[in-house]
Amino acid sequence: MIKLLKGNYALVEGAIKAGIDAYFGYPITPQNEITEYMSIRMREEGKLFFQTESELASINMTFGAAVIGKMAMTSSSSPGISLMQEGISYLIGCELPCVIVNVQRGGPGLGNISGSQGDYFQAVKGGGHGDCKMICLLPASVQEMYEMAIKAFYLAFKYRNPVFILTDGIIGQMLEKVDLLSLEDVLKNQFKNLSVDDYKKMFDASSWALTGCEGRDSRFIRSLYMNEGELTKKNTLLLEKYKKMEQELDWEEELISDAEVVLVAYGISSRINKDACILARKSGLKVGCFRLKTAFPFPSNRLKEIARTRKILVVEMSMGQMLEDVKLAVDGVNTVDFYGISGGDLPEVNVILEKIKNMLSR
Amino acid sequence: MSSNRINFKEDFCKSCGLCIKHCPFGVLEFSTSFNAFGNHYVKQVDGKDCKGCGRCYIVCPDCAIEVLHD
Amino acid sequence: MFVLPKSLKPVKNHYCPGCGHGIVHRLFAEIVDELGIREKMIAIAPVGCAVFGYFYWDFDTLEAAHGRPPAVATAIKRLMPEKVVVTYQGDGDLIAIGGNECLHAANRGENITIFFLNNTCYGMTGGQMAPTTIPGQKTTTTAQGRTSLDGNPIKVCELISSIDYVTYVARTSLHSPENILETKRAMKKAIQNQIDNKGFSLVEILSMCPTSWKMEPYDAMKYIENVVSKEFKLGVYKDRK
Repeated sequence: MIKLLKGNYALVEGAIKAGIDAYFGYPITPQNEITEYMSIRMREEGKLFFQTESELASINMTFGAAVIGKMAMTSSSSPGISLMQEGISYLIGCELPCVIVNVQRGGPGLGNISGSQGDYFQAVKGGGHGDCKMICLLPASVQEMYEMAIKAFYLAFKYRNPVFILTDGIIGQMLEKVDLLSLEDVLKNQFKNLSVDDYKKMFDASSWALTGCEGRDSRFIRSLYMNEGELTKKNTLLLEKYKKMEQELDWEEELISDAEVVLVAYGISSRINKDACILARKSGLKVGCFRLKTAFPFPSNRLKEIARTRKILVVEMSMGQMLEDVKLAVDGVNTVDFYGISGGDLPEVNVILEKIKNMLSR
Repeated sequence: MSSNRINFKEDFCKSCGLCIKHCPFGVLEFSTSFNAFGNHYVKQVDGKDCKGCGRCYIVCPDCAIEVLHD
Repeated sequence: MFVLPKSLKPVKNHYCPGCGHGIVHRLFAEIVDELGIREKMIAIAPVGCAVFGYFYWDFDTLEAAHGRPPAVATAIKRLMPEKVVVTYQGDGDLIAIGGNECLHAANRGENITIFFLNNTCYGMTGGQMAPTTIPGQKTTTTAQGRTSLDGNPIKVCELISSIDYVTYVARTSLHSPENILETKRAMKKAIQNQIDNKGFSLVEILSMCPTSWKMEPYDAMKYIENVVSKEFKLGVYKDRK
């Protein structure tokens, strides 16, 4: 079913298609459409919508829903996500699944309410205190907001870990054509080989959730390990899990083979890169595009391979966050240039073209 | 002679003494020996009968005492 | 017969000698047995001395972030109304860091039960001042005694009972066997209310912390009787029909 929807609405439709049980949210711009539309759609579906008293309550209610094995989601924008970080760490420590959405706005502090990409470090370098990792999905269109919501729930339950959707105010609030595909079709797009049955089976939490101890021994769920060596052992197991998550690596590349310069970005910046790439090709410049669809796991190997024979330009709506991961990946085999714009402003195609020309003339 | 029986879990006892203080009949005292955790656990005074009121069970923070009626 | 409840695991607890937690843990388990709700229980342990509640209660238990049990309980109860959801919280957890979650859960009249242990200090971290510390009481952060600059004790029962949707609020104490039995009656009623879908119930229990108070266990009981219960008056603050 083709519709014209804002990204935030499409995300809600995706979560509902996935079979979400509960949503918890607190108002903050530019993610309000998620909370508002959830309040309508969840009630229509007979599911739990809950407007909380704070982001602290949001993430901890999400924790409560996760602990009993329900499919839960919360969303916020940058400052609200900062408030949630303690809860995120508890979810990871307790190995509980949920989906957390950050519709990024400008920062630091109260910043502003425009789209931004300034929360990359916060999302990708853990998301909370302690040795934390979350799979971090990076939608770049309204269509992907819909599909990645569906993907996120599956991955959350597959690894019993929160999955983070890192998007921004522009993707969240722009109107775009979206095809609200059937679950079967979304699974075809987002997974190599996953049936609807197998997708649904993943949400069976009966082997670990707290549901009252009828017919089994009592259980507890915790993240406190006080005995000597206990936490080290736990964190080693978590590390093994994070390593397994690396198989969920996803990216997209275009016009790479003959490119001399490759533009690297995620989310809304990647779409500006695409425009720049088309214009550059028209004027005879050999430019390709690389778009990350996951930030953790990070496509380090592929980026290094590309960089061996091509120059890299990272375009990012921050002062240089993902840039650091790209540099680590490239590991000095080639130069990495950067065009960053922060404070809620957008990268400009003309500036990107200028940068490309400079790089090629060096 | 009552046949109420006090069931002591000696290793649970931390010698807080609340049961001794709250026993209206002076039936309880600290032992002179130690339990596995180094505490003088509580025991019944030799020759004194338990009346079965259960106040020791009620105040014990360590679940170290049960009182079984005859 | 005074026999330990089945819902209590037969293990030695980690609490200091004379600590009130062990008593309340046992009362909780007794009530769960008496009401036959062990298979429906989902208990939430706090951050604080009682964080290891799950080592002692033989029913499903989880550990929430500091101050957030009422939020966690809200989600669980809303999603599984047939379960019995109980939070067990200390004074720092409930009314310092978690004041907002408690207030809003009460204001929504969530059909949950809160057991709130007030021992007038942060026991686990070494006995610092809590919102419930008595004026003049010496703690590790008020070496000269709590002054007016540190605020006055927050009266949780008085505060929460003023909220319309709250069903039952009582303050009890552990300073004698009679008071312990009264505590059990209040706790049982607070759980029964939930089973009967009556809404939000909170029992504040004045409890001993002999280690932080630097007292013998029996003296700590007397301190509750003579000092703490004078500051925090015992009684039923609300019992909405």
